[in-house]
Amino acid sequence: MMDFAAFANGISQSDATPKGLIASNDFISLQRFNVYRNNVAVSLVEALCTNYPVCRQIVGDDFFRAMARIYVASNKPSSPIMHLYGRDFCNFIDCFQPASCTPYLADVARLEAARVSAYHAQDYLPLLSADFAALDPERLANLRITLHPAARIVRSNFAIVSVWGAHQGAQSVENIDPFTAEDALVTRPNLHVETSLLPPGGAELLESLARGGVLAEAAAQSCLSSSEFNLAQVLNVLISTGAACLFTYDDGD
Amino acid sequence: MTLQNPATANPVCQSTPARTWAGVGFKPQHFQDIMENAGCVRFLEVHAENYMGAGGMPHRQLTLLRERFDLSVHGVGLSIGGLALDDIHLDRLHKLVRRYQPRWVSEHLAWSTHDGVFFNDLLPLAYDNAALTRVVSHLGRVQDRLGRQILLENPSTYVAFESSTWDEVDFIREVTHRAGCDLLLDINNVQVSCVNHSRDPLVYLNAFPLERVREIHLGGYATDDVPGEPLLIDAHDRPVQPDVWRLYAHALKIGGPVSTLIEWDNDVPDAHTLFEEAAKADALLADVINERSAA
Amino acid sequence: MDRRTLSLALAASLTSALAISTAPASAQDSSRERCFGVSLKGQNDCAAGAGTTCAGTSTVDYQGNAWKYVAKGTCEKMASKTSTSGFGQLKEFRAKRS
Repeated sequence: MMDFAAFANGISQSDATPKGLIASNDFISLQRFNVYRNNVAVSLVEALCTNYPVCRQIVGDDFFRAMARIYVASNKPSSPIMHLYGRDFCNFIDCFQPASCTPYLADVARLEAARVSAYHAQDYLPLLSADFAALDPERLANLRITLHPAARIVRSNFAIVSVWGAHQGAQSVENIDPFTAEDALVTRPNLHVETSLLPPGGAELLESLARGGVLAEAAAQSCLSSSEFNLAQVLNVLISTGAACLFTYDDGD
Repeated sequence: MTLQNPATANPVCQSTPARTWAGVGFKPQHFQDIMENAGCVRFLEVHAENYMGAGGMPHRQLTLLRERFDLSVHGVGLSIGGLALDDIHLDRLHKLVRRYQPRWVSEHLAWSTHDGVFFNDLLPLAYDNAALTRVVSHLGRVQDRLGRQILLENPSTYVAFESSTWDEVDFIREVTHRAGCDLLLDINNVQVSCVNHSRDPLVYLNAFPLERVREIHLGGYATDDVPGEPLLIDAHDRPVQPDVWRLYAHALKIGGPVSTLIEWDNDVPDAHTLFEEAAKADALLADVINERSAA
Repeated sequence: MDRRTLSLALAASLTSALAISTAPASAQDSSRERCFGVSLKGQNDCAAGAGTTCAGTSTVDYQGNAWKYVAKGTCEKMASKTSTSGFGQLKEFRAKRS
């Protein structure tokens, strides 16, 4: 019976080549087994390169791959669905001392993971401005707004939206100060993933709504958390990005 | 002066009543080209795991492709040869197959998951009686769940095991017989494995149960340049090599025409380069079909 | 303030929001870019993430390399403004063999 554990262990550890391989000598045996070690490592590093293209540009290909290899060595996938691989790469980057020169890198990774996740999220028609215009103004306080299945909020102490946008050609990288807090809203109103900057208090409002809070409570919380909170601004982003998908009223009686 | 890009000219494609066709592995970046003019490409293969997300672009594209082309759903993550079959993953595959009703569903004679860890590579099996029982049992569960036959693909391997008591071809024939599955013959894998294990690929092909083959794969291998014995890598990163084309022609001659797919997964070229590879397979298929109908 | 009064206050904000964003909530609405800075789609919409492979690779790159790496990407350009913050210094690291 084949020893799967020995083979699996050999993939991850360079000094644990499994016994019982047919080869004319030990050198050939190691060379052949190394093809599997290489396939596994390289394919997983490639997966991270694909999932985190902006992070890769930020630190450069050599640095990114070296960092990814270290992650891959101790973080193998648990699912064969590769677009799910490396969701916690951001947490690894947080603790990865050599990347401390780019403290915004982990949050950019969070944004990129949110984008991949949004890309594959459940299809659902977003609410349009006409739907918002048709709301009963006398019941707005008790309105619950369900966020679209693809909507993701990524909060950061760094300028993740600007940094990400600069790598899409939106503006020059030189003009970015990454050390400015920005919250991102990722949406997919149709098939294309969008990344938007949330105005002050916007993340709090959307997070309150996501928790099931009614609009009055959500707005009150945002007011408390940000002196610059402007409900009209936030609602505009919510409407124009297609981040909402369902209205319900909690009239309480 | 007339300008015509030869790559975009319509190639002459064979047309067969038996739907024995040339196809390519679908890459999302080729979607527009495929919908506009896919040349000789009549079927498309997708990796099952890339369509296991909930929604969005992948499903939209696959739905549109399904309206125009035959589909082949090719799983790379079921780990048929592993110790345990992942029922949750099998359910995902079932959902996908039920939704798209592909013409073929295939998986590999390999393993990729052990103890909850997915290695993202098709790892080799020792061909012993325990493996035979296990693979047959797993295939039975897969076919029961999907409610249909699947195709099992012969692997590319770089190592072989002292504990193997079965020859690979004999093992595959016995699995096919016991599980009642059909086969996907990857001719590039035949070349890669045979060279890596000092076997004659013609002998392998002649012994292969070609009567059970419903789909053929062709891809490009890389030659490893490290010193020692020759080592081929199943890289899918270049055109199909001449010796694989020759083996393919031989397989068609002795086994008859079978729908054939070009796999190109790394360093993916533009769509027209891929379509030209498919046109080559299509031409060889046409030759065999014509020879057979003339005889 | 009762719920109705509160509702009407919120409605004023909604009205302003709708006034800024007169177009339907399609992805093409560019008015928000004027108001709130960046709002972007991905270039070529490459947000799919990694796909599977059934191929091996001939690129040999599986061992942690023993030489030093310095982050050499766009971070060099973004770091300049904040060189006094202590983050401008790029660090090198030595990857351990896996």
